Amino acid sequence: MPPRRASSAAPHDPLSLLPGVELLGRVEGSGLREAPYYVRRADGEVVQLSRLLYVVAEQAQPGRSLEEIGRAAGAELALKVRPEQIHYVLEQKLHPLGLVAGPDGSAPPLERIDPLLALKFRVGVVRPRAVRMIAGPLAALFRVPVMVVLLAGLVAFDGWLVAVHGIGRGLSHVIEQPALMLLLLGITYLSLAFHECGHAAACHRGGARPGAIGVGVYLVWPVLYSDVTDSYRLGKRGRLRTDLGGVYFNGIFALALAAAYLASGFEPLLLAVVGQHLIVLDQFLPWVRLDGYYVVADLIGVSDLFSRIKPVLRGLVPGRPLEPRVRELKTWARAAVTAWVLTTVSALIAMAAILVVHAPAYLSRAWGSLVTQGEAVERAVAAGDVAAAVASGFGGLFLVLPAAGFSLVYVLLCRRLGAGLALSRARAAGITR
Amino acid sequence: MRELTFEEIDEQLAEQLPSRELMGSCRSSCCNPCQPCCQPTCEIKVEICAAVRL
Repeated sequence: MPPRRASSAAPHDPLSLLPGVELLGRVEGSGLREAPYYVRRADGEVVQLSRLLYVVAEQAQPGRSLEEIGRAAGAELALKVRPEQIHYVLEQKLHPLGLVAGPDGSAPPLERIDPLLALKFRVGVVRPRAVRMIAGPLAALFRVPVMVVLLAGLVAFDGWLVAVHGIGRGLSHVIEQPALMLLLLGITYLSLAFHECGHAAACHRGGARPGAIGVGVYLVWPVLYSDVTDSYRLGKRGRLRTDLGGVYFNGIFALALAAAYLASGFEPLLLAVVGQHLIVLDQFLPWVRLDGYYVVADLIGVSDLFSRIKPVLRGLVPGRPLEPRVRELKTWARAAVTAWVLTTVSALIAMAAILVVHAPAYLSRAWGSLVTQGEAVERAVAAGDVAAAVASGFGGLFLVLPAAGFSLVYVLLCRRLGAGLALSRARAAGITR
Repeated sequence: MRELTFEEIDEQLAEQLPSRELMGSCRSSCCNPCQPCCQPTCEIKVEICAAVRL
């Protein structure tokens, strides 16, 4: 179904589609038994609807009466729909989601939702228009012949690096001159920016509009992000290309570093090549919202896997009926989501257990390393070596971050758990719905 | 043609999706592959470090 844009009306007609709302059509490759329909709001956020609600939204053009909307929607759905039912759908279902004006013509406040383990404190740095200017030319890197040549080049270089050359000499350089760590850190951050350009370029290549690129905090780690919410409009292939565009660009970046090494013979560059592969490995973890998570979600065709953890786990209790969020999944998708939930919960519990068991040893080693880094900073300051001092400072920071990260995750999970428990008790006591 | 019911309307799927913000991060182990850490990919990094030291 081709996307349709709502016609503009200001001030808003009561109970009619708001300006800027775009009807994107039926989701391709969905893991739900009845494929949902996507609608893009004026603020770029996306809402998924059943076919019934989507058809009503489609008919709710400004100037149309409830009777007209009901007749047109009913004809399409082969149902008798009463005007009061249309009123109910528009006011109670579509208005709170920011798709339709209220009975008084008002638009509801548009907000992002705050899902579990999501990016926090985001600040856009590169505006969407500038991102599109960058993404346009880079999208050519997704042409199949270009991809084949670049990936073949990378595989060949990796083979040479692993089987013939090794990175021992590069590592010796860095051990002898710790200030080179700063260079590697700079290269890593540059590659992260390029990684984000990869997502944006892939999004553009598929025909969607990439949003801003910016910085934020994920758990406690400073991250760069690329807003590709508009990739919801793409088919499964386009979404997967967007998900994998970042690591593909890490591969290109590694190849560029390899070329720089071949031209200069500067051994530490080979460590940066290895670093790119480690970043790619990290990105494929499917248990937090990194690229691997989105790949899994798009392969299954389910948009937010985290929101299904609780219903899936409840459904595994013997004798307990399946919840609607589980029943709505196709059989194979249900099996895949259950596998993801079980591995995610197991991985998170295992990581927490490992953390608890190894915490004393880990903290002792980390503390020892921290003291060493502190002494290195002191020595570097005394010797007037600013680069070495900064490098050791970063070393200390990166020792503290993992411990702080896991502590924060623990606190956030406890808060969510506590809030959920309080809500369920309040519901049981009849205090709230 | 049958009539639509309010119960059916209440059961309809209608939800906002989370934004798709794809992240790239430089966590400790990426920037310093030989540091102790608790991430699953760390095993591989430790092996790499051991290999180059040998």
